[in-house]
Amino acid sequence: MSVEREDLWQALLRSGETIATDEDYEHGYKRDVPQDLQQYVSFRVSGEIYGLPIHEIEEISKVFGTTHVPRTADFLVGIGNVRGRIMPVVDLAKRLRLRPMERGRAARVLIVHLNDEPYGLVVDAVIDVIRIPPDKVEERPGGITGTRAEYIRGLGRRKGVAGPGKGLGGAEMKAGEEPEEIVIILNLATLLDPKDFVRVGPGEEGRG
Amino acid sequence: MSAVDQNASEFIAEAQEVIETFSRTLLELEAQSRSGGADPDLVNAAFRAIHSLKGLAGLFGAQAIGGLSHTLESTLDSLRLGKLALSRAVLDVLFEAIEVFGRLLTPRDDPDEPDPDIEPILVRLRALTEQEAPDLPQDNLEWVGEAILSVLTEYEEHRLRENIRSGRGLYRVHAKFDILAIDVGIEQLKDKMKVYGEVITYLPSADGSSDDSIELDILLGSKSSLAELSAALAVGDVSVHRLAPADAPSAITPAPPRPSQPSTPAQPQRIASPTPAEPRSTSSGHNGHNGHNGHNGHNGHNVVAAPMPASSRREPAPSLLADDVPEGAGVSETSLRSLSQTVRVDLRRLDLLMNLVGELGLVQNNLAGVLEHLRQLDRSADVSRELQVQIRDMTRKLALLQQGILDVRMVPIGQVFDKLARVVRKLSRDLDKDIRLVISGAETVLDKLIVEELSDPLMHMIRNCIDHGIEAAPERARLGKPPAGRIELRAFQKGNRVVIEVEDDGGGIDWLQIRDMAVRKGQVTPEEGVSMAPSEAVNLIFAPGFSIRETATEVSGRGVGMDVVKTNIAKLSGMIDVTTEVGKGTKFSITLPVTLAIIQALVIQSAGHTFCIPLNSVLESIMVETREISTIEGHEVIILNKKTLPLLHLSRLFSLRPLSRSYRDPHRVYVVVVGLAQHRVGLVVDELLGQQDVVIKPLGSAVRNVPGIAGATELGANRTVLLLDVGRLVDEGVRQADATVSIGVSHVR
Repeated sequence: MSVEREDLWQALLRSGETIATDEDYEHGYKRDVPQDLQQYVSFRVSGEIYGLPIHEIEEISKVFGTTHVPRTADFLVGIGNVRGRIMPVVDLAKRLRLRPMERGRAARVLIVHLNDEPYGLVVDAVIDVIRIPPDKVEERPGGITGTRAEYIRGLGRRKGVAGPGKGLGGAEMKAGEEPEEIVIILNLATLLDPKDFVRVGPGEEGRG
Repeated sequence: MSAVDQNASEFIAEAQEVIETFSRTLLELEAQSRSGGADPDLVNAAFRAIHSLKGLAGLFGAQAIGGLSHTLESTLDSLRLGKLALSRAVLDVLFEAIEVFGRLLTPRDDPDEPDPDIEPILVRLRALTEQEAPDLPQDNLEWVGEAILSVLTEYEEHRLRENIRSGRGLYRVHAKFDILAIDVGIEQLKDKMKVYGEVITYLPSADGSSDDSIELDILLGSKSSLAELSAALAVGDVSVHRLAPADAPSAITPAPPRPSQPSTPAQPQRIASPTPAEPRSTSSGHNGHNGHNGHNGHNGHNVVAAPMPASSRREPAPSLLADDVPEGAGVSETSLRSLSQTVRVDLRRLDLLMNLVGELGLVQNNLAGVLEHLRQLDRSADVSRELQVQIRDMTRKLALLQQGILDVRMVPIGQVFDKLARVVRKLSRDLDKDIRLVISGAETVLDKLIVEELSDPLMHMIRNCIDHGIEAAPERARLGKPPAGRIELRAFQKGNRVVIEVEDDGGGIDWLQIRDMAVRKGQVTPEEGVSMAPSEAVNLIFAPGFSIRETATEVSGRGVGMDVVKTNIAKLSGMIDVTTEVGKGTKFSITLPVTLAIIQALVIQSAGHTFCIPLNSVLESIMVETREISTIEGHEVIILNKKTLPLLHLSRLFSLRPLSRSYRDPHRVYVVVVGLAQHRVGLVVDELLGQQDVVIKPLGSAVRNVPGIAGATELGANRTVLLLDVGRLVDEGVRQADATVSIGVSHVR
């Protein structure tokens, strides 16, 4: 557990990037995270590897309690409260319509921000920070169609890591031995489109 | 990047404040010019506001705003120098400029989008100054004294001439202030002097100011006589002297005090021929008799009229006036100071403080828990008693702190009223209806957030009043009403609520017309229409998509108005009521809580989920035997106070899956009777957990629009609880009931 977390921080430090720490938030201070589109935090959801640009992520938190909100889509776990900030918490597996997997102790909530508002994304495990040069990102996933395509900003490739459950340990494996893996880079704006959150309730049929 | 944003928002906030001040001043000026004569102080205030806006724009590199304020400043300068008359046309252009400022300050989504074009308004402003009146023949002012004249700014000189032209006498008030109390002293003296006339300028005195006091000469234009002024002003270290043209102008040596000048105030005008001045004279002016210099050690034997020689003027005057300021600089200095009396605080910072206070409250709860533990240990009885005292103290202070932070959020509603005054002005011009807006209670304070959210609904209502309510002038004449329509805007506090009323003396709302319209549009069935009471029919104006007009007008559109108004007010936990009388007028009253940040809530439980209901919308909570519940076409109702009350099960409304099923008594349920605006329903819940003050936290945009949920709050250790949007739930309940039950849902009044 803690080893894994430290490794992530190591990875972050190595990459010269910072994610705000608990102390920063304790004092209500938001550090400016420099925008470097080349770096992504990769994480696992239902066996697939996803990534988000590092500057979109404020914090990585352990899973915390949420309050169910009626009349909302099923992918909204509820609203959570992180140090006084209320945020919607989204189950990524459900949002991406993947087969949900049993979440273990590696599960985390990525606290991301979109339009200055925080959101929590529940993922199965956080893997590491990777660098994908912009020219290695396929901007438009032409092959992928269907409902998920709109949530995808692009596809990147990374050196393979170990399978599910092994976490960061895989980073120490020798490169080259592993096949390249695809990292699906998500588009927060469509993923967290406010209009998808509200489910029309029983009393609502009359309204357009 | 964020530093730039920060600067920009700081600039916008400050600029808006200045423009609001400016706008308020203009409105006041307009009212004054209607009843003759504008207060020169106000014109000057308008000038100063724009002057400091110009400085501000320069500081932040806002070029368009800087350019506009620069041109506007010249126009206002002409106004205050009397080169330009304050006509209606001029006011129109000035108000137009406010609109342009507004557009310039509106943040644009696309940063590349160019600033709105300010060239047209610049052209109009310049056109004004080009046609300015030619300089009037100047009265000779030599008798005032070179020493005074040489230090007057152009504006001050203009005011001096104006005063003389209007037949006022000119007085020099000499005052001495203790250096420690000078600001207070000057203010007091200024207030006193304003009653009698106009303060033209302040001049540091030549007479040797000592280290611990400052002496000033104040030039005052007044219609009162020297005796009157002396009686009123000359107390303590203040003395009053009259300045008047000399009969014998060549006085090289200071003239001895002489008896009151016989000169009438009009005299200066007659002496238009140049009076030869003595070139070396430092005191060409003559002075009235100094009758009250008993206390004035310096002036006792001095020549009263002698203003300081130019050379010595440079030395004294510590700190109050920068010595020998270049023309106009003094103006800018005072203006910058007077406009920044307040500290602007970002609401988010206040929220942060509020959160901290909330968390302190939790700590305090924990401490109380510790205290309980301690009490159970006999040995530490003394310690626990001490702890108890401390905790009680802390609780009290926390409450004060919370109140203090809340108070900071409070702003006077006048901010919105000022904007509305501008809207009224513009619309009445556009529609060619003469309208008087009467404002009262502008000082009533409300939470900043509420004030912000109020401006749109109020704007809608005012538009409706002008467009639909108030008749055209010929119609009014026919009805025997005064030609000018009247809109009253009132705000007052009533208990812990604020009431805002918008009342017009227009045609009122014809409920029959409304009813028929609603039937024609199919919003109500003909049968419903027949049984409809007048108040119900009038309330149809709040129904979605309702409009009195068949066609849209440019002003109030096609009636998306009132239902939006109602929704917005309901979002603020407010209620709106309408009373109307055909031919007499219409009155809307809005009742609002003073703040939204902290509200009293009723905490309830349904299917194991906890919710809060704003207490201000709870009429009562009752326990109901299940056998008292009857159904009408499948909908549960109870009879309460002889009225039918539709019931709503919260668990069904929200499709709540039961978290715990510990129903105590299957034969009884709790019903929370809630009402907002015109309707009420009973919410069926499992448990009433009690009342509590809760701090409301906004939900993000993702969850904000969930119908029936208004916000979230924290109850105890990081437990987040949802706050119900009662207005919305009542609406749903009423619609549901209306769909099947046509027996008329009980409506309040």
